[in-house]
Amino acid sequence: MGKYILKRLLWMIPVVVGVAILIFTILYFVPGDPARIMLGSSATEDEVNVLRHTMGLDRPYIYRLGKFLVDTFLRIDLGSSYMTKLPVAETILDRVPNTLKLSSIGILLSVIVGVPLGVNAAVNRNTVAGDRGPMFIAMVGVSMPSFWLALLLVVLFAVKLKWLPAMGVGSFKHWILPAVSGSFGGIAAQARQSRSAMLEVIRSDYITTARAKGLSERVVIYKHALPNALIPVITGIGHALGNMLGGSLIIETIFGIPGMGMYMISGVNNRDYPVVQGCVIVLAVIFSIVMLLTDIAYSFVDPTIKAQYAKGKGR
Amino acid sequence: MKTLTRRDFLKICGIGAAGTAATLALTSCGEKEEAASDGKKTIVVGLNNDVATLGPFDLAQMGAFCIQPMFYMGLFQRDQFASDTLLPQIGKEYKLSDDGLTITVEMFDYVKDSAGNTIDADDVIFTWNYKKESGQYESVMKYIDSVTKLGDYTVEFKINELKLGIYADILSGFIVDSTWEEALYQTEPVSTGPYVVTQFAPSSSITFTKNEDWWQTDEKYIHPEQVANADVIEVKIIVESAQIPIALESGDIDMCTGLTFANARDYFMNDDGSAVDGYNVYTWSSHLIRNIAFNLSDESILKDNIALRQAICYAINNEELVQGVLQGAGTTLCTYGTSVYGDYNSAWETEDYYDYDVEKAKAKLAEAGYAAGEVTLTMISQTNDTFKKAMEMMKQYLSVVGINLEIIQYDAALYATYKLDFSQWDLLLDNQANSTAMTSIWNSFLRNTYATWKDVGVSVNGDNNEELTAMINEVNTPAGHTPENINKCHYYIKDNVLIYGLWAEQSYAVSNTSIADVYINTKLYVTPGPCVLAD
Repeated sequence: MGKYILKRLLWMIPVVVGVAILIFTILYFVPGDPARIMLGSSATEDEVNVLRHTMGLDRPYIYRLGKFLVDTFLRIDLGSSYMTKLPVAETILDRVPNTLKLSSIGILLSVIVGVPLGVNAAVNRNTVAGDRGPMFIAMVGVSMPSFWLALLLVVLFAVKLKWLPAMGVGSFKHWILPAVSGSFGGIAAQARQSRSAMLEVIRSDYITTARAKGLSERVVIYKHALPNALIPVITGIGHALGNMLGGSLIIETIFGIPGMGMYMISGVNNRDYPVVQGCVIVLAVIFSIVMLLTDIAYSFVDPTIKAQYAKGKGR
Repeated sequence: MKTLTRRDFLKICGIGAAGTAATLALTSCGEKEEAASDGKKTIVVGLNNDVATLGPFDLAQMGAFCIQPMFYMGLFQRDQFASDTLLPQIGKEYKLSDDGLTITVEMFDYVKDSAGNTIDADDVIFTWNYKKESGQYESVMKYIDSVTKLGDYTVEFKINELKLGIYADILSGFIVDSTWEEALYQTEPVSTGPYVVTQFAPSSSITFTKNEDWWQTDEKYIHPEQVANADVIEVKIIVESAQIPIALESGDIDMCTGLTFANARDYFMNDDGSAVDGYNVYTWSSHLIRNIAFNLSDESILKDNIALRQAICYAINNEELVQGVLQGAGTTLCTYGTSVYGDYNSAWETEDYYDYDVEKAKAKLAEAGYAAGEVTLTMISQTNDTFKKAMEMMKQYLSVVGINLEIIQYDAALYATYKLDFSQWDLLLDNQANSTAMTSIWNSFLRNTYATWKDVGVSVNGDNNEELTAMINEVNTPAGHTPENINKCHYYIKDNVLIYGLWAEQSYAVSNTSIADVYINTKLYVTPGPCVLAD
């Protein structure tokens, strides 16, 4: 297992370097001049050219790419923002807790609400209250854009009922609306995923055997069926966490949460290349780690996978 | 070693989930609620323009225009928008030589910034040297030959040319201490103004606290921008426009600026235009000129075809645009300028400014040598709901007379690039503004020094017009800024259809009743510090 983890960690290096080269190249070729944006439309050509030279934007692609890779991977320096002049790594460290907090609460909600809903729907399949009703809501949840739901929730809970703040960070209350609106799609997806996985499992022979042994339905479902239905659910959680980290920018913008998503949006709008590159690299690392943890989690749920890892036959 | 079983794993997951939830709850509960009042007068302001940095010399941030006067000061500042009268800030008084080319400034000798540094003549020279060396302030620096220290608190500026507004341009620049560290000022500014920044999360929130030890205690020298009525000001940056009225309505903020008329009307105004109970609505004329620039670069089909340009102007119903796009909350223009500028001539309002006339537009199109449907033009603008609606309406207007219009919107970064690429567009829907004078806008955008296209200096419409450049140079000197010269330029621009003024908008701010009046600063943005609080 240790070997497997080490191998996966080593694999992360070319993946992250590849992501870095890709994002640098995309930004290099995307039109839009950071110097012009910083100085405004009334700046003269000379003023813009001086700033472009100061920022090194007049250097050739290959020189800038090489410098970026050396700085990032050999000096572990993500550079400084064009706009704020502050080190990008430092700013990301300041902001990443907000994004992780938002994503973690979102994932928790998805699992705590979505998985039981899906299990219940599978056990009570084809009933209106247990299956069709919740699955209809899940279908709506998957289809509903998170920004639209966020605004609706704000109007209801912040403006009309005045129970929760409309925006900002601060107390626990500030996180409720962003987390619910950000995770609603995740809850729905988890419910649908759990339902279909459970439906596969509860039709298995060993479940019939367990029932024939006279075990209670609760034990049959939660002890024998659920653990065997968890692999696709874990996969879904891994992907959902990745999606939430990447997709947090919409929720962060709507609720004014100073997280990585908002930082990246402002970087994109201002063509602040170091900010965008830094955020993408950090997200790539986090996503790779999440995927690794997901794969490791498989081994605890399914002993056959663990045996494969141990023999070195794993991926 | 004991092997971890599946059951153990599930237990660990359960404990982990519960632990994470508890930790999140506890850490969040440990965070403070909004600043408690503790007897201090606190206001929370929503700003819909991004503020990514608090540096004194960051040029292109509209959000910063609102808040900078609370913590940065120049030597002098205008008394109001586009005025020639300068009031003291760090400078106590200034004298001009007979030829106007030498400015001698006497500074207050007790200026200290919030870090305790004394601001003196050396700091003025340091600031100007920094700006000169950066090469980014050439539009002002090119007029300054030297800045010399005459005494500890006396400096002399020698300028080489008299240009309209040059004294304000030079003297209103922010002054920083010579220990200035660029990166530090971006997020932790050292203040010379009446407030200090006590918290800043870029693009999210800023907290200002009144500086009880502010150096300027003599009320007669306090500039209106530096009046500090609130003890604590929290600024929340709300870039999502739909959230601004919601945040005010839910009580998250006390005041918001940058509202559209539709938002102000839908949330906070009665049918008769008065404010609904519990709110105050403030409105003032914006200095932004919304206009169409015609591509007059050598390759453009509009270059030598005045009739085609006239056809476009006649085809557009400006009155309807103001109704359709702004629900009437704006005024149509009769020049490349608005009435908020002092050198605007209201007599132009009674003259024909290519007023909407479909038949004339069709005749002009025929005169231009095109049959209906034969010409297709591309109009670009920055991504913006107002512009989007306007472009769609203009597409309809032009189609009526037989001109096809393709409309494209770009984000700010792309737009800044493409507007200087004259192969990308025929018509540019744009806006410009300035704090000095209408002719200063002509100076910035219509002279052939605005940009370079194919190694030639050109204006915002890609034109290298020596005649117009000379006229604008003349009208932008104090001696040449006469009604006759202004008229001459206006008619030249109008008759040759170089650029077409469309409309000017009303700006809106709304507060709850904890604020009795707002303060509009010298750049026509709301500055929270001097806003009047209700008793």
